[in-house]
Amino acid sequence: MTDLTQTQTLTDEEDLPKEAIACLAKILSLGGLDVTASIGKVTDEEVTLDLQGPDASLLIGRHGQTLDSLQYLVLVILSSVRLSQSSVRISIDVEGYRQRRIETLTRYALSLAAQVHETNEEAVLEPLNPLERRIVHTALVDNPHVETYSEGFGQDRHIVIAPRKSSTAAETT
Amino acid sequence: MKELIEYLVKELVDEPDNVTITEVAKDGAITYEVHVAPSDLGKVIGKQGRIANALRTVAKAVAMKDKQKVYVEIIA
Repeated sequence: MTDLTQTQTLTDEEDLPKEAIACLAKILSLGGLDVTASIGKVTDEEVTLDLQGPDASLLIGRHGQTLDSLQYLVLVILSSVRLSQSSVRISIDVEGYRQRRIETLTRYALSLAAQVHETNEEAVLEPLNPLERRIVHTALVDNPHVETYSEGFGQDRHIVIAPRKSSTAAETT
Repeated sequence: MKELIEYLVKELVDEPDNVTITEVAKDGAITYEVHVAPSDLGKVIGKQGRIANALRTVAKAVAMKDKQKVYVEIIA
């Protein structure tokens, strides 16, 4: 860890989540939302900030889009000061939404993969954000029957699950 | 809502003193016109409008609590 003997006193990584919480608290109170932010799961790489309260579900949005936007804004605001020096990722979650989304996407990917293997026809998924595409790619990376790739640009970028074109195995049907 | 947008924009820019927000009500929706210093435009819009879009998304979500429709426009 580098010693930053500069003007700022709040360069410790431990302070980052607290600052993120302060920023979130400000957003929530100015927005008149009945939601509180607190530090949730902490690992070596990532600190999760949990949002809870009657209005928390408003902050998820379609496929977590609102949550991603909120997280992005908070990170941009913090990064203007000191996030660039940090190795800790900050993630914002509403009552375990992100974990549930990972599980849902993984299950969905596996069931589509089974269908692709059975029918030998490609499946085109609806557009997903980069993090969600990564979840799908990761879920199927070791699958011997299918392969995944992304196509399209920007908001339209989506995954295709295709039968794996194996150079060794001959077509069976 | 105005205070929320003002807080976020002021945190994003280099010249917070040059931030003003005006509310324009029309057809049951409120448009928040965000005025910033020309040099700060990029800070509020972001690459491919990512920051501006995030601002809009959050503002719309917050407005949903009061079943309101809001727009955010960024003006130099």
